[in-house]
Amino acid sequence: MKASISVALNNHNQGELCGRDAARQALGNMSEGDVSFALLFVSHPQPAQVLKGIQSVLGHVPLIGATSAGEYTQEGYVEDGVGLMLIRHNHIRFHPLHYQKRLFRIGSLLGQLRGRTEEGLRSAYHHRTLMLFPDDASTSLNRLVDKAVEETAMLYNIIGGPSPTIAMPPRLPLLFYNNRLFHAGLAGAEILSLYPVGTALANGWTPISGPYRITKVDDHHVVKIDGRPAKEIYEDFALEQGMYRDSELSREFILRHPLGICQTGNCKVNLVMGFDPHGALQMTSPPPLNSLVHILETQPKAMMTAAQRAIQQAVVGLEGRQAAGALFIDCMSTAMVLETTYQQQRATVQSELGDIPFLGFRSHGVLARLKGQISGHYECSVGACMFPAEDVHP
Amino acid sequence: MSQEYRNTLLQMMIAPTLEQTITLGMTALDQLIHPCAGALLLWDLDMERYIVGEVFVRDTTRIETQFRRDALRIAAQAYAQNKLLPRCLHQSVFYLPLNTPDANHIGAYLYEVSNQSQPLPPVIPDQEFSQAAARALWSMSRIEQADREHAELVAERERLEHLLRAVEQQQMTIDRLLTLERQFSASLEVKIEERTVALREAQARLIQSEKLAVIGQLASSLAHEINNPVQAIQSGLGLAISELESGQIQHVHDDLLMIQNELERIQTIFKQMLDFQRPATFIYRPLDLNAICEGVRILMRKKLQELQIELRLELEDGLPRTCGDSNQMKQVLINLVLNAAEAMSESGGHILIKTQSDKDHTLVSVIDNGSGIQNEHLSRLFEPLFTTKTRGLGLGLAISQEIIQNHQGSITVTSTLGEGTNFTFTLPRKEFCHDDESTSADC
Repeated sequence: MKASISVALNNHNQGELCGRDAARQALGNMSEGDVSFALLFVSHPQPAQVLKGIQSVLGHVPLIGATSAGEYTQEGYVEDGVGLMLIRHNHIRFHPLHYQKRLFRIGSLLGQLRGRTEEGLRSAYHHRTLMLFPDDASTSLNRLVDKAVEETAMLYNIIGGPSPTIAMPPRLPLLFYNNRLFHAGLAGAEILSLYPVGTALANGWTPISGPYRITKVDDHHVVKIDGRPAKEIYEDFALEQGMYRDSELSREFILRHPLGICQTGNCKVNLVMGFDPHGALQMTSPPPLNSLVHILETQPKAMMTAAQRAIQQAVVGLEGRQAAGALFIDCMSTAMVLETTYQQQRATVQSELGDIPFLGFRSHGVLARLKGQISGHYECSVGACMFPAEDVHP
Repeated sequence: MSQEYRNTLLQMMIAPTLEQTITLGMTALDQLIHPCAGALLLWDLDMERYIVGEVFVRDTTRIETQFRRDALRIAAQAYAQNKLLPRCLHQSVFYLPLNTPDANHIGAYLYEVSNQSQPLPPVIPDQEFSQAAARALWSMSRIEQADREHAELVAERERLEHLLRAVEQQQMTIDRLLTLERQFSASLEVKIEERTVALREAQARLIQSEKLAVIGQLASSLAHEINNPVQAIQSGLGLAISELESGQIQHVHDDLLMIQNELERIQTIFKQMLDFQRPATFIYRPLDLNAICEGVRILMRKKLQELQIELRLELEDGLPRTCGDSNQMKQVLINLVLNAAEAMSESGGHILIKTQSDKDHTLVSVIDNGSGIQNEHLSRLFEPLFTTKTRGLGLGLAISQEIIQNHQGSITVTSTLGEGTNFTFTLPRKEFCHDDESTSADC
């Protein structure tokens, strides 16, 4: 039985029909054999109905996923729709897992990972990846990655995307785990593979100012930079750039100039959402206290190149095998930064992946712990996870 | 100097956190000089520039934001000029560097004393203040740094402990697997021993039963091979009797010669059957393959007539010579003709024996228009004991192939179901047949 991955996209306005049609289409695109695993991303306003529709076709196929701001495949892009990926593999083992905050057991976020216990280090399935889809509101995403790194004993690559809280129209982040739909927690999967899984993360941001020292921080604010109210640093920067003419810094300006911790040419990007009355920066994942940060900038072309780079790095990660399919995790803020050129980025992804079936979804950033990169929650970045085929690359 | 100032200085020296040290330092400065605005700037070793520790602005006309910017700018300039020297930079702005006795630059106070309505004795504080402040900040920042590093080490240790636990778990799993593997190996050895004994017994039984089977097969095959000459003898005798009765005595001699030949052939077959598994000696003589084909036609004439099969010869004139054993070659041809005859339907058919040659070879083909051979059987036709017939045990073609190969030739078959079969054997052309070319079958 060879590996097979199929994807489907649907935006029927009735949730159940939307889910059912997507599942039928994905099954139809798949060669014969049982489905091992399903990844589901939903921007439809009726996620529960979508799940019901999908289950009416797929039955008890293990499934994880999250709500998102939009999904795309080779077929196009949808908002208020669903993106579904079906995977059939005999050389990858998927073990779905979930965690709900109200059921939190101290000391265990991920539960018993089979790669550490049952399968063991001697297992032939020794290429370990952890895929995580948490909600973006109930916990610190940087800490969540740290916790996952600890619980996996640094034996796993980690890649994932938080389900976003959407302001307009207001939608809470929700997570899918088999037949369940819940919020506040995470859905994920332990992926144990005979062959390397290609994971990569990239962005097109470069430092334009700094470094600065983070001198006061809390869970969602950078209060002081260089001992000064953080807003002052942005005001000085805007003056230097000749961009600070009004009394208030524009939203566009701060969106296009996030903070980043940069090492060896890579920057971990964290967006500034605004300022509080005391001049603190409002952020989903502030850099840690005492870290050195830069103010970053980007160009649309650089972001498109970054998408290509993520795919190319993921292909390199496959170590010569062909890709059976790819999951593309795309921070929803990318579209805000790129505006009209966002479509070009999707087209770049599509042309780079060629015939490889892929599913992209718009998350609130990317969670990553990858070799040679800072672990944590990246915003305005792209993550790629490429599943290996059995065939080696010609 | 007031007692209040001295107490503040003392508290600063023993403050538990850097933040408190900074605040108390600023308080002490205020108590000592009463500036209208002041900033404690900390030297960041990584960035090699000042960052703001604490700022206060008493003068309501002064904007704090602007004072912070000014303080950083002015202090940077002062540092660049001379980081060791306390001094008045402008009429009312003073720069007080904080250096530890071992010349570590920890930061600086920058303060403004523009409001000089009240007497301010020491505009530049005494050395005791700057030294105490530098020492307190230095030690506190080092303690905080050490605390941070300690916290990082604790976190790292926790990670490593997790890793260690994981490795220990894996080790336990490996140990468990190894124990199981050893147990399994031990029981496997016992099982292998038992199975080996059982296998030997079964093998012995099998050899015995195979011996019996081979004996049966050889006997049956022998009967099959002898049946052909016996039938020829029977038909020759029938002819001789009828010729004697009809007074055609001149033909009887030929019939008896033929019978004698066939009896010799039976003798040869017996010998060859016995020799099948051991080397046989061939005598290489010049061979006239056309003559051998004629002889086979005469031999098979009667039997084929009964089966309503027409045997036709198509012989190349002046067929090049080859070398070999004529008896064996005759046996090959008879085998092929008999096989062809058995492939015919009850209503009979045609068999063609054809000789031809090319530059290096002479070729003999036996072509029939019988039922043909199934594709899946073609590759196995020359295997000993392979047969698709209800009678005979499949030695004929195996022997034929062996004979041809011992003549440095080859035999091939092509067949189409429902149309017929073509067996062709090829022998090398030879001008001279030397005795030293005699060889054994297994060479």
